[in-house]
Amino acid sequence: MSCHSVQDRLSWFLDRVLVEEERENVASHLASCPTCSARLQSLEKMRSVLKRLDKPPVSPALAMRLRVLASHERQRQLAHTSLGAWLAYWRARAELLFDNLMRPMALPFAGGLLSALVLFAMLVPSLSFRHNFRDDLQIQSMSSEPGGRLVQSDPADGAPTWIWTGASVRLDSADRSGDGDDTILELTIDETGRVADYSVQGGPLTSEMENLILFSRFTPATLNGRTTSGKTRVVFHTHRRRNVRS
Amino acid sequence: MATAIIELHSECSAAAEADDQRLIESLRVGNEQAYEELLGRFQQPVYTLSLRLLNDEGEASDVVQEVFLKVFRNIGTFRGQSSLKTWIYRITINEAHNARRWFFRHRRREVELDTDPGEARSWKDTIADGSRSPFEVAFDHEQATIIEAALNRINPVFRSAVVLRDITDLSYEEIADILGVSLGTVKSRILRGREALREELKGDPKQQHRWRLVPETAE
Repeated sequence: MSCHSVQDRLSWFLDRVLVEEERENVASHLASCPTCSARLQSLEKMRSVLKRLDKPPVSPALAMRLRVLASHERQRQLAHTSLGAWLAYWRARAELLFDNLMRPMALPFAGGLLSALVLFAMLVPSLSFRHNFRDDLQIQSMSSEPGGRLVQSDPADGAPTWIWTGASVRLDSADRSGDGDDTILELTIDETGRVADYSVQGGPLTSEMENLILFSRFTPATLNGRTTSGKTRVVFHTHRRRNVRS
Repeated sequence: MATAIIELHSECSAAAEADDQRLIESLRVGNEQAYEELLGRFQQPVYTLSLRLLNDEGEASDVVQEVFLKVFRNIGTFRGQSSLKTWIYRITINEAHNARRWFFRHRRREVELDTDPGEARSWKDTIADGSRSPFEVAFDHEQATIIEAALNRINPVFRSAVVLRDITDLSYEEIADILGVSLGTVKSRILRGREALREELKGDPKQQHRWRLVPETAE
């Protein structure tokens, strides 16, 4: 065999994968050829160094990650064995997901809620609509036509703060300029338009007044579109009832 | 004599197959001990193989995790056409190949601060033990550093074959099974890989000097 063909087979000779006949031929050539023999030695040496290369151990961190991975995959594997296990697995996953989702949000959420509550508590007094207008509306000097709308303005800036329509009653047109003989019937009209209370000024309570109080239905006052109680004043002249003032 | 050796070998092989089968069945039913056993048997060889193929500890760690994830997830569909070891090594080779491809696409332009892997070793890796002289330790370390660098420079296709043969110590048949190529191709790759490695070792004048200096000093 030539040196070239022997050197091509040295690697396989070293690994003992040559057939017997080839192996013998190579061995006999090596015994007589120092160049090929040195080449074989070099190859052997390189192989032995490769075999003796350090095998760096798996780091503890990687070993731990692999154990965690194995644990997760085992749980996943077990989840496929039965329906109950499957449900338990997914419930646990959902709980974990929810927990992981909510945990970082807990502090901002609580802070936001607390801030909103504090802010709301600070603003509530100024937002209160439960104001008793009944006393304010008593005998207003300013009035509109019966059934008309009155816009009450804040004296400070003139912007409307609420819209109020007074209770009204359909009666004959009246002469608004009353005199000293007039009897004034002041009625408190509830939300349904019935008389809730009354007072008489300047004269006795006549049967006509009683009929009015007992059987009349009034258009109730409204505040921002909602019916509310209100007061109205009916002026009776000596012989005829005249006017309604709200 | 030869017949006795062949019989002993076939008995060992049958025992290993039975052991693999038992382990696979245990893994399929979710036996905790089986998971431990699989990690105990294969995490070190898989890590060593990945490290030799990639020459980067971080990349090798990622590959090891990917390998075991695939093993755990696909153990149910493993049909035993090859041995468990061969199957796991095949996954390792494929994952290392993917990682290397990804590396060349995305990270090759990054510059490492520590460019010499030899200097990254801790004192535990280099300190002499009681049985060997400091000269021997230094000699081996020097040789290992040179050969690791040379190994890293040869074609990855040949490197895989050489690593599987000379470091992982697998047979030609097992390598053919792992790489999914014929026996002739494995022979050719190992031969060409070793030749390339030899050429690398003598190609660099500095390394050639160091490589040849050592035997003379030893003598």
